[in-house]
Amino acid sequence: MSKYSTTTLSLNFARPLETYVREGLVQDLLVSWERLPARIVVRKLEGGLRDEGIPIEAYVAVARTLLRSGADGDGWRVIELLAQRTTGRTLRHLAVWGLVGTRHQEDLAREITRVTIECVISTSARDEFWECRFWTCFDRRARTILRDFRCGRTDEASWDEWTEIEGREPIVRTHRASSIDWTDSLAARSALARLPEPMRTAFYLKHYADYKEESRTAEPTIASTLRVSGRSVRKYLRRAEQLLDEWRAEETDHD
Amino acid sequence: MTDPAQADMIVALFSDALERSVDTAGPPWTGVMPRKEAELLRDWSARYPDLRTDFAAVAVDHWANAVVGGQRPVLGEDVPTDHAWIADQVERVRRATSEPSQAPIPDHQPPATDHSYAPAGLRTAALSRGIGFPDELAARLRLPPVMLERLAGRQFDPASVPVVLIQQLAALLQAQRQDIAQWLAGPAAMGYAGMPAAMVSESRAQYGTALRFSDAVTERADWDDADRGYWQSVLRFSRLSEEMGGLGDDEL
Repeated sequence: MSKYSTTTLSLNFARPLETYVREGLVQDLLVSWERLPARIVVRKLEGGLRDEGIPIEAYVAVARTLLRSGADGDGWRVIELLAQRTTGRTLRHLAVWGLVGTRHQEDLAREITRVTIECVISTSARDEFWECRFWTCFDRRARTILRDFRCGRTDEASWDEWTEIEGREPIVRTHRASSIDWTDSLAARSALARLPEPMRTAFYLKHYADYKEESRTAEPTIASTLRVSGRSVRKYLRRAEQLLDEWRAEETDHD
Repeated sequence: MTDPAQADMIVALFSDALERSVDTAGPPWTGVMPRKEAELLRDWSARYPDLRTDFAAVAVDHWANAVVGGQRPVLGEDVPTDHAWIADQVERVRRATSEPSQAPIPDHQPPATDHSYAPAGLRTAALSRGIGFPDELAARLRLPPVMLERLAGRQFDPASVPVVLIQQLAALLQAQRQDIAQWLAGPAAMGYAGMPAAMVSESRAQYGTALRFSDAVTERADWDDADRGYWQSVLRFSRLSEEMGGLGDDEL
C-alpha cells in the first residue's frame, strides 16, 4: 500500500461521457465525491471493496479521472481494488469453461485481468461503456479470451479431449439423453447448468431454444452461434449427453 | 457488421430485454425456456449476427443463474485469490503501460471529419446509397416510416435524438455523425420530407413546435412492440442530448 501516493486534489469525477450516460446511482455517487480530496475517495472505494456497496463502474470512473489528472499512484491503487473485485467473477468464468484446476488456469486469469485493466485505463471512446455496464463488458472479454483459448489451441478432434473429466473414463451410456425430459426436474436442469462450455450452450440451444444443429439458410443455428462446424456441434451434444448420463448414474447410485 | 464500439451496449440491451421477457413470460423455474426469451435470442441474433455468440452466452448464463442461482463447480484451493497475486498482475500492466501513464492521459481523440458528405436530406442520401425511403431506411433503423419522415423533416428537437440513432444513420448513409447531427439541427421543414415545405428560420425554442424523440417513442401508436422496446432501451443509455443540452460537435 505504501508504494501508492495520495493526493489532496479534488477532481471532476462526474465528468460526462462522450457517448453514453452513466447509471443514475453511479453518476450521483461521483457527483457527491467531486469536492472530496482524492485520497478520501480512494478510502471510500477501499471500504466499498469490503461490503460491495459501491458500484464497480464508480471504480472505473475514478481510476480514469485520477490517471487523466496525473495522479498515477491513486489511479493504480483504484485499479488494484477493481481487480480484486473481478477475481471471483474471473474464476466463475474459468469454472464454466472447465478450466479451474488446470495448468492453464493462472495464465488465463492473468490474461483476463490484463485485458480488463487495459480497457479500464483506455481513453478510447469504444471503452466508455465500461463506466455504464462494467460486468457486461467484463463478461464479454472473459468469454472471448476463454473461447479463443479453446479454439486457438485445439483442432476439432481435441475438443473431446479436454472435455474428459480427469481420471475418469466415460461410462457407457445406457439410454439416450435426448429421451429424457430435461425440463421435468430441478435436479436435471441443475445438472445441465453444470455442463462445461461449449457443451452447455450447445445443449441449451438444442433443447431449450429449439435451434437446428446447422443449416444452409441464414437462420441462427448452434453451429453459427458457436462458430464451429456441424460436426463439432454433434460432438458437443454427444459429450453433453455422456456427462449428463454419468451424473444421472451417480445420482442413482447415491439413491 | 456491428460497430465494435457499440457491441458492449448492444449486448447490455439484449440482457435487459431478456430480464424483461422473464418478467412477462413467467418464472424461470417453470423449466422450459419462455417462448418470448427464445424469440428474443433468435431475433437479436438475426439482427446482429456477429454478436450471436455473445447473445447465446448471455442467455445461457441468464438461464443457468435462474436454475441454480449462479452456482458453479466448487473452486480449487489453488485458485489465485490472494491480494499479492492481484497486486502483481496490476503491477505488470502498470509497467507495461508506464510510458503513457507518465503523462496525463489525453482526452478522446477528436473524430476525423469527412466533409465530403453534404447532407442534401435523408431521403436523397438514402436513395443515393441504394436504400429505399422511407420504408427500407425506417426498417433498418427500427423506426415507423412516419417517424423517419418526421426526422427527415427535422421536426424533432435535435437534442432529443439519441446519439445511437445518429450513429446508425451515419453508418447507413456513409456520413460523419457530426454532419448528421448538424443537419438535424438545421431549420425544420413545416411539412414532412419530400413535401413542398415552408422553411422556418427561428430556432425550435422560439417557435416551440419541435417534437421530442422520447415522447414519440412512448406515445405514438404505430410502433412495432419490439422496436419500441429497443428504442426505449437505447434511450436509457443515450440520454446524452437531455443531459448535455445539445448535439453540437463537442457532445459528439
